[in-house]
Amino acid sequence: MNLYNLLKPECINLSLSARKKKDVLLELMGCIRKDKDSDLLVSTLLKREELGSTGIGKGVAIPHGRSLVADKLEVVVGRSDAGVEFNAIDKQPVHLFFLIVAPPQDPGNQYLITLGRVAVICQELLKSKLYEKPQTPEEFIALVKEIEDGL
Amino acid sequence: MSEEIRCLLELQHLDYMIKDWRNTEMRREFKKIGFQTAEDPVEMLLKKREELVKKISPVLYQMYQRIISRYNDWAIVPVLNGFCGGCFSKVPTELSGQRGAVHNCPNCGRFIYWD
Ligand SMILES: [Zn+2]
Repeated sequence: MNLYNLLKPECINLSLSARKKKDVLLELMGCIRKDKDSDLLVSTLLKREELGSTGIGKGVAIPHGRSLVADKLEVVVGRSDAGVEFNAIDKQPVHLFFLIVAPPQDPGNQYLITLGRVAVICQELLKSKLYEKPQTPEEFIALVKEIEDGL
Repeated sequence: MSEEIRCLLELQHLDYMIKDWRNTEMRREFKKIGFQTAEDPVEMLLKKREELVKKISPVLYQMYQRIISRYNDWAIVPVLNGFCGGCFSKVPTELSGQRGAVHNCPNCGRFIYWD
């Protein structure tokens, strides 16, 4: 699978304003749903964070969850220059987010495959802080494509 | 959305999460990705579930359990354009007049709510 195929410009926010965990999840969710359901999803994502932060270190976090308010798998990207306090494994603020939301029924196991793929791409994006370079969502998608073409 | 519906929805989401954390393949992948995890996440989630169940009336909870064991997918679904989100049959319009109350789809029995 290729991650760049799942990325949509409207689901990429390169200037997050939130500075706290719940706020940033709401801000990311705002790219896909703006109604009260997003509140329910955020509460699910927060429960997931309580089991152990999805902040995997070096400024990256991959929050994720399943919900019946998602009718298909969605990936939202967020970037924060200032950084977000996310209780990451290395206690460092998070600058790059990949939020993954999946429907409960997922025959091809796309959820798990996407999570794994995102983790691989994040490692590449971290190299010389590549993720800081794109100025627009389209440039971000092009960068992910370039990385994936080279893998 | 009523408080009861909200609790049922939360329960449903929690049950999805418990299912995932019981899946060893999923746990292995989580570890590989580098997510740091509590020693016994399933136990933690079951505790949360217990707390949540206390907020739901026993009658509704029993109904929830019955629906879940029957369909093994979802017990509570939104009504979309007048159709049940679970079985896609038409929901009688008179039901939508009482949106605050808890209703079941007359066809499949799943809990229904209006978005
Ligand atoms: Zn139905």
